[in-house]
Amino acid sequence: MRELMYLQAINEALAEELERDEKVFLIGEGVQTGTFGTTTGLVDRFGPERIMDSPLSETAIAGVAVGASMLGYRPVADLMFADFMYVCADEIFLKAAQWRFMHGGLQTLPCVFMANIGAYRKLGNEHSQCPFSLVLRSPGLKLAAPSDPYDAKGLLKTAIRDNNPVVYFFHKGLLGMSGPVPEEDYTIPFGQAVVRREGDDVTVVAPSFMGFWAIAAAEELKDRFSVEVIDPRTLEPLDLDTILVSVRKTGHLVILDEDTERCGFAAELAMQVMEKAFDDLDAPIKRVCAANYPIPGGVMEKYVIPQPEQVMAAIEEVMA
Amino acid sequence: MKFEKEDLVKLYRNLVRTRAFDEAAVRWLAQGKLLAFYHPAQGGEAPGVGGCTFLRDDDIVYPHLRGHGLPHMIGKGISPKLYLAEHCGKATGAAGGMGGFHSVFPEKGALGAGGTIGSCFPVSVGWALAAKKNGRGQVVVCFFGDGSANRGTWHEAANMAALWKLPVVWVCENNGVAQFVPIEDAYPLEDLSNLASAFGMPAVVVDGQDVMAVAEAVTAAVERAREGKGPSFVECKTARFGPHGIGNPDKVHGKDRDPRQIEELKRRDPVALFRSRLLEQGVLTEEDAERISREAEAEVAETEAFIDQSPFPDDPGMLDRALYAE
Amino acid sequence: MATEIVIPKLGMTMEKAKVVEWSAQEGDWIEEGQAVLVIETEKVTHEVEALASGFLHILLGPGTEAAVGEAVGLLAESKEELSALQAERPAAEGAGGPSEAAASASTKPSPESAGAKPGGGSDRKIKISPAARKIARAHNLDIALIQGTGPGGRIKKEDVEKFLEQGGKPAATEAPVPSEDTWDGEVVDGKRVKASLPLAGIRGAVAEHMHRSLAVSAQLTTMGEFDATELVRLRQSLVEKEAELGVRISYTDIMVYALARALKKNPIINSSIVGDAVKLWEDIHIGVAVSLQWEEYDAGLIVVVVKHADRKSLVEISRAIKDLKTKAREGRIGLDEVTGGTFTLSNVGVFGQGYTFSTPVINQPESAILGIGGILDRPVVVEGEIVVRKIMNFNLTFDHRVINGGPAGKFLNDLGELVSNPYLLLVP
Repeated sequence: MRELMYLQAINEALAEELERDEKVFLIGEGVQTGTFGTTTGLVDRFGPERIMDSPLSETAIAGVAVGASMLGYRPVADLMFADFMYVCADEIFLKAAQWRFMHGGLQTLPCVFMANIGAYRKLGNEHSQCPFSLVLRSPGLKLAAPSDPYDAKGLLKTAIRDNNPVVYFFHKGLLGMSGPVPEEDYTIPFGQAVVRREGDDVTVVAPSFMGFWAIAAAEELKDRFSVEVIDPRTLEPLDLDTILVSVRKTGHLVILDEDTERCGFAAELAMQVMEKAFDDLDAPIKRVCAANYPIPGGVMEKYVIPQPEQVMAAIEEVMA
Repeated sequence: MKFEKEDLVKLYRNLVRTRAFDEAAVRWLAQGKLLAFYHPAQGGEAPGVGGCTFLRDDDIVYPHLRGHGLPHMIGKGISPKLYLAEHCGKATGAAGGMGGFHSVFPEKGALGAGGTIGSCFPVSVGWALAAKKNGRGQVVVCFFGDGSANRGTWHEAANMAALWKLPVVWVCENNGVAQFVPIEDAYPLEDLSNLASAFGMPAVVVDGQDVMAVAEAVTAAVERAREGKGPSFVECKTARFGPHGIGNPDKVHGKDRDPRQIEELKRRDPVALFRSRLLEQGVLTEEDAERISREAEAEVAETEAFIDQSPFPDDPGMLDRALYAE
Repeated sequence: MATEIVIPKLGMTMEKAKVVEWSAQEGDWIEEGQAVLVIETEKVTHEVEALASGFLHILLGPGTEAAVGEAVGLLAESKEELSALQAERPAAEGAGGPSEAAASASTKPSPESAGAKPGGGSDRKIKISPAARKIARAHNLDIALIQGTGPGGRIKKEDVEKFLEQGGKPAATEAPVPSEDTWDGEVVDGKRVKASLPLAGIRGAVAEHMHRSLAVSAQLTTMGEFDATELVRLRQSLVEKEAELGVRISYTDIMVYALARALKKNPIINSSIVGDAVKLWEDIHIGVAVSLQWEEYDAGLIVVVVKHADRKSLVEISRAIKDLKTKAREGRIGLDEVTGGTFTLSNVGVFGQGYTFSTPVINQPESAILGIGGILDRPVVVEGEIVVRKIMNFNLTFDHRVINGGPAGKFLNDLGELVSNPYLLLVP
């Protein structure tokens, strides 16, 4: 199969959906140029009416996505950095997430908020966050977080076709990653996790970029433990069943989460596993997350964001 | 726009109905029938009624909070029945009892009104962008107060709408006081219409107690927008006869509003002003005016009976059905 | 004002209880309704809840006995009050104990240290993972015998699996029998001790009760045979109707049903000596001896009581016995469900076909107990012919202070008639 880079897969997904459905349009700061290459070149094919370079106005960009989606369009709002969601919180968390519900299910809001997440680039507190929990605590939103080019394309196409607001987080550490991507049309259903590596001793749940390290740690420790790595792919809806099947097999669970530890996805998942599979646990669940600090700029970053050694240590600890 | 006699009667009728339902809402809140809270429209009915009565059915309005959108929805031709049943938490409400004070009636262009003041601007731009894209000639009219105009959201949204010549009309209902803070202590210039000039939008200031003046100005702005010439700004100088919300003290900067100032405002009651003008012009007779009032009261009574007979929702399954679309 | 924690009266005949374990430590804050204390009576263990909130002051430590109504602890409203109470009467020994004991047990969990736990049977302080606990429960293992290799001595799933592989027995008994010189276990009177079962809890209760029964009453056992041919046929037809009835009727069920009727006709058998009189009971509450599950060396015995057996249908009796047995085996049985009997049935036939005779010991303060054995094909002479009949042996032990041979014989005749001709059970 041909190989594409993660960013090319995103670009191709946008192009295919723009082609397929004239209600789809893209709006954001400099999307005609493309800050990360994810939207580059689309304007040549679809014109400035559908690839809309907007003023530097995240609030209005998000508001436009909400408003236009209520009238039958399928806008994709490119917010560039996920950290900028705080600037348009009202539009995303109170309007997009809640208006369908508040209106008794009368409205649909088929919009996508896409933004990059993740640290490891020394970009500091406002360009490095991975705000999964911010999204997850807003019922009404869906959350996709692809970890390879195949998923990047398939999940984005599903996101655009979904009749609900979807937050699509792509990871800046994965942009240049290459991988097989079929040429034919395909989508990846939401709420279907994938087992990246099979194992019998310990389950590691690792969304987005964290999957990279889960696999690396599994490889490193393979002579001692058989590690099963699960990528949830979408955190809402979450495929808890696949995770439970694995935990029932291994009895050990490590959760990786690049978001801040406190009240995060890892805490939520650990609780759900405890509620559903307490009797199958053979050791306390461990999580590896960003420490409870803002993400510092520069080299101090490494003391806050999850590191590969912590992943290995966590696996060893649950297997002790 | 040339108003025919029937247009004027319709405008008057909507004004009277708005006043009647607004008073009923205050009463129902006191009786515990209307849930949550209520911010009466009294004194400030004309911008909503005047700005909405002559819109097309498929034009979209973002109602202002005064009267919780009653002036706008009545002007738009939406029956207050379903809206008020909703506000009273009943299953027969427009959103099945899920929305509370959210005004929603998509068939006639009421797509919702948020609880965060100033969030009207970005969403209205989204509606206007969709209206421009679909080419059906729809116009969005966004109503907001002097308080909302202080939000930063205004600038992002106004800029984008002007830049892209979107079909949106900004109608500012300036009643001179945002909850407890007078506008002269919240904005440095006399007229909020100055907010339009930074974006090259035409703006006009009208007497917001004169429902016809409002109707004329908004209609002109809507026609301009429909022709693809972009947004414009209508500032209506209006009034608030009572406190911000029922239960709030009627104070500014911690001190009671001057009773003489309120008396002054009440002398320019928009309903009374329009009534005497129509009587003077012979458009209405006293009997006509009385009949319109009686009919409004009858509509209120019928609405109240409908609400009283309606059950409260009691189906938790509704939560899941409303949360995500298929 | 401090609130007392007293020994509750859990049943009509209960007089005292033993403090097994405090669930909290001296000085701990206790919420109203919190389980604070485990007590043990002759029949059951019971968790005592605090009736008020307060700081705990422990008066009686584990192992001590207290009368019903006696205060074993106090709940002080304030720290100051607690100090005053402690000054007045120091906390009992072991008041801070349970968690300290658990800490040492968990760092070096061995059969020895586990055996030293208060109450013997409680496993709540042993660190064990949920998955390991699930398997241990499924195999009915005593987790005190399992060596934990996880952090802090936590028993892991792997540890339980290993334990099962080794036959589910403690590692020590797997080892080759050591010579007398190397025996590091207990030696009593020159004999090596394999295990030591404390005369406490149910074992202690049975020992004390049986001995007292023989000491205080004049017991005499009469043995004989009932022709149970028709009874077997009846039972067989009831078993075939199990689906419709919803229960599988046992011989015990039918015997309880028959006994209730025979006792009604013979009130003297359904009696007790109270003070200087024999009380003939109007109520017919039939106790049924139940063997509990096997633990390492022993199986407990408990008598569950079918109240008002004379007013219950056969199906109701069957359901009641099954329900009580389940509760007893799961340790959920209430004190009132094991006391208050007026007559007891002990079916030793359940242990196997050859068990025909026994000399049952009366369950005090009742006056008689009926033992029945397995039903066997036996040659008997009927009208001069040797034929094969189904024979059930009976053994009636009665208290000769109350019951003479005549009334006992009449009772047995009445019962025998019902057993050999169970169609009479249809007649009220």
